[in-house]
Amino acid sequence: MINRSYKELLKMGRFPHTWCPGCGIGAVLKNVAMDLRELGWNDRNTTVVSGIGCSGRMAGYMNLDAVHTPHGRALTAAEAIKTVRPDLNVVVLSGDGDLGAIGGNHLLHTSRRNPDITVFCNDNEIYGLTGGQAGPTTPKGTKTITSPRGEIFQPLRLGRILTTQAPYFYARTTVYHLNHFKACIREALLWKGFSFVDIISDCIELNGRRLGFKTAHQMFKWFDERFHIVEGMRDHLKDDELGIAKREVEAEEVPMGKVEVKVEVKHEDLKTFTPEELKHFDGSEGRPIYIGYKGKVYDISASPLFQGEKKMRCHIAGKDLTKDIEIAPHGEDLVYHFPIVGRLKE
Amino acid sequence: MKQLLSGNEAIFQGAIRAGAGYFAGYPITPSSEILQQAAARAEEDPGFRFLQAEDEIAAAIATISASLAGAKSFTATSGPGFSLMQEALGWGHAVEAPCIFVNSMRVGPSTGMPTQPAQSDLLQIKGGSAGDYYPIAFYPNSVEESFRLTVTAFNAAEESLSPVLLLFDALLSHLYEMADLDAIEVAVVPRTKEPLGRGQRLFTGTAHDRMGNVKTNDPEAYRDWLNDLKERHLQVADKYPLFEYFPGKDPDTLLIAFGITSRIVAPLKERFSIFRPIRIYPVLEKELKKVTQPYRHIIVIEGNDGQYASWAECAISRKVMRVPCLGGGFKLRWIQSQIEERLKGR
Amino acid sequence: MKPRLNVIWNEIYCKRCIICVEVCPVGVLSLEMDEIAEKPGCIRCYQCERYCPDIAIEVMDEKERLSSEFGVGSSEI
Repeated sequence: MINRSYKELLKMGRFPHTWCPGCGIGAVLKNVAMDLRELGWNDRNTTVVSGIGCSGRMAGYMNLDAVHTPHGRALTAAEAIKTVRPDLNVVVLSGDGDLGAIGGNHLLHTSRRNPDITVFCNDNEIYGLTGGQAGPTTPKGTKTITSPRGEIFQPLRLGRILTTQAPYFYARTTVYHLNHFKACIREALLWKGFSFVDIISDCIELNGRRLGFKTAHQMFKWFDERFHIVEGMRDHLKDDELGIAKREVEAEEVPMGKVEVKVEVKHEDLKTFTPEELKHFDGSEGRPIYIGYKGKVYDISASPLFQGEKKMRCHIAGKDLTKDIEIAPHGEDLVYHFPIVGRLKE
Repeated sequence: MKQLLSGNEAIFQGAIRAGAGYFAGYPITPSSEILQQAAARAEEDPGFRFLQAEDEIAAAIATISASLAGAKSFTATSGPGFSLMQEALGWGHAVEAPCIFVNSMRVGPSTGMPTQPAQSDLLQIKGGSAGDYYPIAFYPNSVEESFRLTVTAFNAAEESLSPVLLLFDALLSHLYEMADLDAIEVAVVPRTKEPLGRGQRLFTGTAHDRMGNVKTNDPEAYRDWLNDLKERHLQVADKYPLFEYFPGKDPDTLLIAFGITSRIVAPLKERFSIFRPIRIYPVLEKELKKVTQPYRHIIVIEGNDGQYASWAECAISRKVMRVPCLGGGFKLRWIQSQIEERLKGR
Repeated sequence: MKPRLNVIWNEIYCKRCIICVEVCPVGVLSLEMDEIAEKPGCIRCYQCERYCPDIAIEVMDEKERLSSEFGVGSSEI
């Protein structure tokens, strides 16, 4: 049955809450409270920090000691609190403007100092509380009160900024993709270090209506069109992907450019593989992972992408990738790092 | 054991004596040595935490947040940094966080003269942040007094539950004098405010009533809250009516000087009476009224364009004369000639 | 709080945003005369409750639902 004990973490006596009908912040508050409750986090072991904005009001609705900082300063406050009180779980509830514009400097430095805090960014791509001005994540071309002919600047790409250097944890989700949202919350809370959940949220009243949406649900459908979920371990997310990009340590520095093959192996001397034989080497049952490229067969078992259980999900194993690699973003150089073990039968 | 130490060192030692456990700061002349001592201390003392923040805004917010989390915290800066910290100071008053802000004043406005002393941030104490608030500020004039007054400032902070200001200046910061700190006995007021993680309180800069509930539409609740705050702060200030008074030969003339200026005009003690306020704010109204009463001429000698003079005039309802020592010019000869000029023909 | 057939609707918390109406896969909810109404057909998927940003609509527990529908005590089930 559904567990409703999360309400004990909320100041239900202050409901109905202050946010507009259909506002995504209600969903964020509720789902974060649910997960905190499930993890057993409470007023003895957890504190929340909010900034300024509609999102900033979340702190006032939680049954925890909460700190409501001036605009943009939630991350700094959270970091200082965690430093003095490593015994407390520290959660930041804030928004795109608070974290990305006025708080931008703190976003850069708090994230690089990597305190063990979890940040939930209600990213509704607008300054809602003050009436609907363009914000740092407002997509280019969006009409707002301060961009009447459409926002002229590119938005800040939080996903790129927060994943430039390990360690990092950046999750992007939406208030509509509820199961994914919940999974992101859970993983972020449990991540040891600075974790950031970029929650694409709807501001129907001060943003959506100007864009032509009549209901919050219509904005949900719009999120569904704009984004799609990507599964599995990722280093980075593309701008339209919902998922989790995380890394604990920097990968080994791999030199770019073609690697000279020291030992010249004559083409005729290489063992031949038919497509069926190639398929056999797919990583299962302790076998190595081979791929075909431009007539040669490479052993890519050593790739960091396919270690441990990921070996099982290596969908390119045992295949001829000549066509695929041509259109891949990373180019063929990547293949040449791996040892040649044979050639493809013509 | 007597040791040779600087004003900046004395302040830091005073903070340690008072039980400080957190320092956040940003490098700025002439207070950087306090930041550096904090960094060194943090290396060897696990009970002392340190942050070199990305800017003074973060340093101030971190100081206040660390206080809410339970640490005795402080920060140190100079004019331009102090300007950046103003919003945070207002917040510190609103959330009632006991902490110390050290401002080692230099010539302003703006970047001004980084290595020249001034006393020109007085009006900023009271009017730097938006709204009404009641800060307490002290200003020592020797290395030994710096040590003592730092502990006093921490005590006043705990009692008033507010950010107390320790005023300083570029000369005093780098002045080296002999002092025996271990021999100095000074009581330390312990932390009584409950830290985070003990309840369901909201620490907010938004207007709230005495219970902590946000009240953005209730003039009566606001008045109650502000009057409570004001009364508490004024009561604490009254516990520290610190000043020095040296009656001189001339029965008609009183010089008022504080901080480094009082040291420079000290040789004039034979001839003129000197009043040295040590608690700079709230203004020592009662004491000034009493001391100035028998004198015909009152001359305020300060490193600014008449800031304390204007407060003194308000306090005693009388006009005073001014000798503004601007741009780092504190030469005694020049001050003497200015005094003579003011007194000519009177 | 107003019980319906399968859901309980909180008329004070509800802001009439109609996310529940639009997210219901079988379309049994509607906004009529400023109230959330429910017609038969609910499949108890809980989407309305999960999506409501105001905690204003909840799916009745099985026992509650049966007793409210038939007006009998839970011991009868």
